[in-house]
Formats: sequence, C-alpha cells, structure tokens
Amino acid sequence: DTWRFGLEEIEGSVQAKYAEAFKELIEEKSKGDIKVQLLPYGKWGSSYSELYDAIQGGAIQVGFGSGALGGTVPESQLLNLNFVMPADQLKTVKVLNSPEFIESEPWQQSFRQRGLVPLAELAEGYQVWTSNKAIETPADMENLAIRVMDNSLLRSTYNAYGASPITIAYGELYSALQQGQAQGNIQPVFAHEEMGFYEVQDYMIFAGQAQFVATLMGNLDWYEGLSNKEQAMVKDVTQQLVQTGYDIQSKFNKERLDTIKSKSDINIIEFNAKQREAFRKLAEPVRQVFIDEVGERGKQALDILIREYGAPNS
Amino acid sequence: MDGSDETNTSQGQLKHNAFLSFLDSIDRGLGWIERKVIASCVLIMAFLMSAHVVGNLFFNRGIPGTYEITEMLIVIITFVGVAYAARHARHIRMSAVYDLLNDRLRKILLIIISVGTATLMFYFAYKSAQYDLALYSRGRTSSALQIPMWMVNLALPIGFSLAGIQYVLTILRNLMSKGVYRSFREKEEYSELPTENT
Amino acid sequence: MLTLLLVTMVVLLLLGFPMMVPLAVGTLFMMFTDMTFFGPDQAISWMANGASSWVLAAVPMFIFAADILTKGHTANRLLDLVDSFTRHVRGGLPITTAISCALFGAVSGSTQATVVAMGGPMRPRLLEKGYPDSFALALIINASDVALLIPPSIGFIIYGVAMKASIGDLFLAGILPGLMIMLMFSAYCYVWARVKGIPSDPKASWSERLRALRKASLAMGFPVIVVGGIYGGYFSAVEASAIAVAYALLLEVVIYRKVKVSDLGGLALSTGMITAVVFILVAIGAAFSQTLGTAGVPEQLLGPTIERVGDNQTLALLLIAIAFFIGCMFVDPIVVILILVPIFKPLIQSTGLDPIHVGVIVTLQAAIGSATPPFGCDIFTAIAVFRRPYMDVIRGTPPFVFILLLATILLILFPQISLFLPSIGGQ
Ligand code: NA
Ligand code: NA
Repeated sequence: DTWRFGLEEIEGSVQAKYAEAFKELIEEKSKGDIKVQLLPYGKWGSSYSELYDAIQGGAIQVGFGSGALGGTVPESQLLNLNFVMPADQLKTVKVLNSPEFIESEPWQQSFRQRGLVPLAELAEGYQVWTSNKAIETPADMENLAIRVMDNSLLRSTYNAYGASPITIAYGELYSALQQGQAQGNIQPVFAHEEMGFYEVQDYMIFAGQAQFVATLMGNLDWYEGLSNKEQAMVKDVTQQLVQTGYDIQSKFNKERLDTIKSKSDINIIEFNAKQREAFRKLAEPVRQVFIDEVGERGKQALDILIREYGAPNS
Repeated sequence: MDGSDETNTSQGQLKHNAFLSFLDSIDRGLGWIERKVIASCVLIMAFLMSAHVVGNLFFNRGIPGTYEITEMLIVIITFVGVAYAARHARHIRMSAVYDLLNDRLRKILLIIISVGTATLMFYFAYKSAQYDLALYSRGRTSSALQIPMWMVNLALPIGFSLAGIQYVLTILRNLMSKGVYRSFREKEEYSELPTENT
Repeated sequence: MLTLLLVTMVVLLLLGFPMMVPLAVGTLFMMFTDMTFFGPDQAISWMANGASSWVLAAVPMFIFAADILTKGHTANRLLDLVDSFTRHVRGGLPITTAISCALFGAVSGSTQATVVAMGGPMRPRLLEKGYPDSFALALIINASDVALLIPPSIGFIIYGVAMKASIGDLFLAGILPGLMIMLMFSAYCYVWARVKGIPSDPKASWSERLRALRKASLAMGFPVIVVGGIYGGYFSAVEASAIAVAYALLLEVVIYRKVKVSDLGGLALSTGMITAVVFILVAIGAAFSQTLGTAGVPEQLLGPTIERVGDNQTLALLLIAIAFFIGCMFVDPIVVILILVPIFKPLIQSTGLDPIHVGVIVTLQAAIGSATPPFGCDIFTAIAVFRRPYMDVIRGTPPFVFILLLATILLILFPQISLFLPSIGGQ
C-alpha cells in the first residue's frame, strides 16, 4: 500500500522534516507493507484548496492544513485565535495532541463532517510580528497597516489591537513592505527568512500570541478503511512525533533566526508577561467573533483548550 | 467588438428553416445572459478594486473580502466567457494547416473540430458538476466572507455546458446551411477580420 | 507513452482545434493511462483554482483601462508627444515602442498587461508609418517580455520562493539585463529601418513639442499615478491596475468626454471576452502542467543529462537555460519555474552557481517562452486583442527570439551584468 502525504511547504521545511520522520516510522513499523510518498508544495498544485480537494477526494490520503484551512474546516480557525495557547511552545503541542483535545467529539466531528480526520497537530513556531517601528504596547500598534491574510477572524483580532489590517497577496508582500504600503507583517520565523521580509523591516516582535499550527489530516474513507492495527499504528507514530516535531521546529526556527541576525541588523523585541497581558485582554473578545462565525462545535473545542491550558500566565 | 450579437446573420436564410429559427431564438436568450454576466463582472471588479484602494488610501480601511470577490469574478468571467468566446469563434487556435484547405475540406474539418470540442466541453461540464456537488456537500466556503464556494464554481458546469451547446449549434448550422460557419452566427470571412484594436 | 502523448497533442494542434483542446486532452491522456495517480476530479480542481488568482486580476483591469484609453483621446495624445521627440531618428517609432514597453514593465510585472497597454495604441501607429504588421506584432510581444525582468516581477517572486533566493537581490539583478535587452531591441529597430529604407520624419519644432506636451499633460498623469503610486507605497501593482481604470474613466468620461457611460458595458464585455480566451488556457494549462509534473515527465527527460554535466558551471547554466526555454515554449512560465527549479536545485548547489545569477537566466527564459510558439501567453493575448490569425502573430518573431537568445548567452558569459547591482545595492 502507498500512502501519499501532501505538504503545504517545500522540501527542507518543518512540515517536510516531520513528514520524513512519519514516513520512516510507518515504513519501519509496517515492515515495508506500507510505503509513504511525500508530495511537497508544487507536486500537488500551487493553491492550498487544491491540496484540500485532493485529500477530501482521496487522491492524496494524508496531508497538512493550516492557515488557509478555514474555508474547508471553519472550526480549524480556532488555531488562529490569539492568546489561547500559552507562551510555552512544548506545552502547547502536548495539549493539542492530547486525547482530551484531538480525540474530542467536537474536534473530530469538525473534520469528519468534511470527509477528513484530524491525526495530529504540528506547531511550527511562534507567529512573529515584524514592523518598521518598535511595538511594545497596544498604543504602538495604533493604525499600523499590518498585513493579514484575507480572513475575517485575523482582521477582527488586529482591529481589536487597534491596528489597520491590510490584505496583500503573498507574492506582492515583499514589495509592499519595501515601499511602505504595508508597515508590518505576521509570519513564522522561517517564512520571514525564506521570503526575505526581514530585509525590508526594522523590528521583529516575539509577542508569543500564537503559534503557527498545521493539522495533519487524513481522508475519512481511507482512515475508516484501515485495520484497527493500522489505526493504532498511526496513533502511536503521531504521539511519538509530538516531541520530534517540537525539536524539528525549535532547531529550524533557531537556525533561521540566526541567519536573519547575521544578514541584517534587525531589532528583536521579546514580550514579558506584562506586555503579553495588555494584548491578551484586547484579544479576548475576539473569541466571541470566532464562536459567532463557526458555531457551537467551535465553542466546545475552544472550551476544551481553555480548560486544558489553565490560567493564562502559565 | 461592440457587444452586439447582430453579426453577419442573414435573417432571410433563417426563416426558411423552422428548426434553425427555433434554435436561433433560444441562442439569442443565452447570448443575452452571457453578455450581461460577463460585462457586469468586469464592471464590478473595476469598481470594487478601485474602491478598495481608495478606502485604504484615505480612510485606512479597505473593503474586506475584495481579494476573494475579485478571484470569484475571474472564475465567472473565465468560464462563462468560454461559451461567449465560442459563440464568436474567438478561441485561440493554430489555423496554419486549416487555412490551406479548400472550402469543402474546411467545412468537414470544422465539423470534426466542433464534434470533438463539444464532446470535451460536455465531459468537463459533467465532471465539474460532480466537483461542484462535492463542494456543496463538504460545505467549502471562502475564508473572508464565508460565501459558499459551490455558488461561484457553478460557473464551470454552466460555462462548459453553454460552450458545448455553441459547438453543437455550429455543427447543425454547417450541416443545414451553405458556406463555412465558424460558429452558429459567424460565417467564415477570414480576410475581413478587422485589423484595428477592438 | 510520452511520445504518443506528444504526437496526439501536436496533431490536435495542427488540425486547428482550439488550443484548450490539446491541453485538456493531454491532461486527460496522462490521467487515463495512469501516468499520474491524479484523476479528472483533480483536473477540475486545478482548473477552478488556477483561474482563481488575485494576481491575474491585473490582466483584465489593464485591458479595460487600455480599451478605454484607446477608444478615447489619451493614447494618441501621449504618442503624439513621444513622436514629436523621436520622429527624426531612424526607427524612432519602434524604438519608442521598445522603451515604452520597458517603462510599462516597471509598473506591471505582467508581460500580458504590457502587450495590451502598450501594444494597443502603438500598433496602429507602427502600421501607419509603414512598418509591416508582422514586425509590429513581434516587436510588441517581445519588447513586453522585458516587463518580467524589470521589477516588480512575478517571475522573480516565484523563483525566489522556489529557490530560497533573496527576492530583493533578484529584483536588483534584473534591472541591467532588462535595460540591455531594451537597447538591443532599439539597435535592431534602427538597423531594420535603415535597411528597409523606412524614412525618418523631419524633426519637430520646439513649439510643436510644447504643444504636444500641453495636450498630453493630463494623459501623462497616467504613468505618473501608476508608477508613483506603486513605488510610493500607496498601492500594489495589482491594485494599480484598478487605479489605471479609474484614472482612464476620469480622463475619457469626465474630462475629455470622448467615451460615454453607455459605452462602458460594451467595453467591459469586450474586455471580459479577451480575458476569458486567455484565462481558459491559464486554467487548463495549470491542470496540464501539474499533471505533467506529477507524472514525473520533467525528471524523466532531464535526469540523465544532469548527471553528465559534472561541475562545469557554463555547461550547467546552458543546460538550465535550454531546459527552461523548451519548458516555457509549451507551458505557463510560472508553472515551469515551480516544477523545474526543485529539479535543478542540486545541480546549482553542486556547481556553486550564484542562485541570483541563475534566477535572471531562468526568468529571462520564462519571458522568452511567453513570446515563443507554440504556446505563449503573450502570443495568445496578442491574437485575442489584435484579432490576427496565429501565423501572422508569430511570423515576425524569429529575429527577436534570436536577440533574446544572444542576450541569454551574454548573461551566461558575463555574470556581472546581473550581479553588479545586487553587489553594490545589497548593503
Ligand atoms: Na516588471
Ligand atoms: Na511559449
């Protein structure tokens, strides 16, 4: 049997390294009965909906879905909410992959209703702000033209901070930052490095407001067609990879940050608990926007996360 | 191109054949719809995009969902436009060999081309209808405005079906009328192609 | 199997089927013969998503703006102005065309939009001056290629993402090669006009130039607003296309009143049809090239050759140039970049080539490919806009393609042409 594994990212990325580890473990545990074929970005198409279509249709059995997944699985936008996850990155992924969350009825049903099954959550590092001015407090963000994806939840979040979120296509973003049409940007560290955005920005701000999380999902019919043993094997492997995924992304983002530091004199700001608290307060009402948009099941999934993460400043 | 469909159709010829004139009236209706849809999409796109920029510049607020709607309008223009371009025989093709043939052979080749193209269009109409049903049952929406994607992608089965119909009409016209017709309404007059920008 | 696929497509093409047919049949062929694990359902997804792109919106908007300006007074007033300064030079009008296309390229980033915006008004002028249509069309199509080398450029962005190269450096690296090609075209136009004995006109007097300047002053706001708006950071290149429409409406409907509000429906319809004719090929072309990629055709064709190159840099560059040139002849350049760059990445790294230098070569091939038969989006655009048969449009292209290939060789042999600006500007 061949399992095809679609990645939203190119070879050498966090998703690709995680997928390589997944492939190795599955092929080893199945004693070669199952082969895993990796399909990086470009191999299945170029716009994310094409990947989601392929997984929902079954041409690709497993694959990642992240920021662009909201149209396909609205509840997945939960992972875009700010200040739900703690600043501790390892704790974040452990909870996301715990049976209490990933096996929970609301999270499973959100995907199963769309012909998918959530298998694991891969956090790929903090979503980091860059800007052409220092941001320490919400006042610094007042009217900042920060680029967000064309997504109502992100727009509400940054409106709540007082910024003026602006939509710009990814391909046009570099020029827009360089020429000042956009004054800020939100990406994981590796994307800032990969696309050279740091070359045209002055500050990098680690607010710890959210991580960039991709959901590993399988086609529902494919998953239901697996034997109990195989399903157990998948669970086993994904649990084993929680720590591996964390190690991959930490190493990867550290290397990329070092590259950025060596190639530019960008200023780095790291928020303390008090600074986070100021933004956290503003972000909290946006949870209601999320609930209004995706409904009861989303609220239940959110409640689970809030309960599991405990008090905000942990 | 002035947008009118009153091209070189000779009304007298059509009246001789009740069947052709019946097709003609249906085709007129379809053409009217295609024209309105395409022109409105272009005008809406121009208005929306400029308003978005102006909003960003002067009020620090663009129009949410501009990107999405623009992308949707392109899909509608593209696939409904396939039918409209078939109606005017404007699809791009390499006619080097075709141009060398005499009228009789050209007419035969044109019928073969229309049969093949119509088949493909109907096949795509069928597959894209299936795709659209899948989008409907999976509940895919756009990410900014939560517009159901099946509504937008309805343009594919509709556009491909209308295009298929145009190629079938072209076959019928060539079988029932004298002369070589590149589409139901357009008789072939190669040298008369306007040279100035449309 | 691959041979059968190619033969089928070429036969359908030569028989005169609409170009979407060979592309679609090629796609379905690979799917039904199990050359790829993807089926027709995915082809539909690729088609729908391939057309659904924000960046593509610039094409209908620049077409619409050009339609409005062409129906109205603006285009001619602008050209009168340029003409008053260049008419006494041999080949003055085609030289102006080449330069205008390069300047417009600094605004649009899309070669197709350049074909429409500059070609629309320039072609009638060239014909009027006695240049044959084949020369005029080939000049417009090929001069528009420069738009992909002069920033902003969609080609560089895609390459930068696939190769992980600095997009800022790529933008800088494209400027000199773009200007070099513009000069080469201008020289060719000068020689062409001399050899064919096309006379130059008497020099315009300064009072005539001033008069032309005054008449064109509002029209000159067009490039000022578009270029200034982008480089001033007021809007993006795609958004600029909508501003171009708004400004065109202001000039022609409100100020000159040459275009009536009731004309706009017809203009929009014409724009929509030209757009559809090009975009259906973009959509089906996306499905075709994705299928080709998943069928492993590029690796199959290139794998053995790459092994033989060893660590010879010039040979490696030559191979890359040839592969991209041939790829872009048949398939949309952006897709070629996405498919081929990962294949060549190991070769680029093992031979120690500068990824920025390679990026310029690759993007130039993408630009040439857009204007080279059999499939080229600029050719399709020109056919759709100017309503000429396929052969008429491509007849005059060989000398220009030759010049572009010459430029490729120069850029391969003299990396400094590309790397000079990034080396001083990257600090
Ligand atoms: Na450009
Ligand atoms: Na080509």
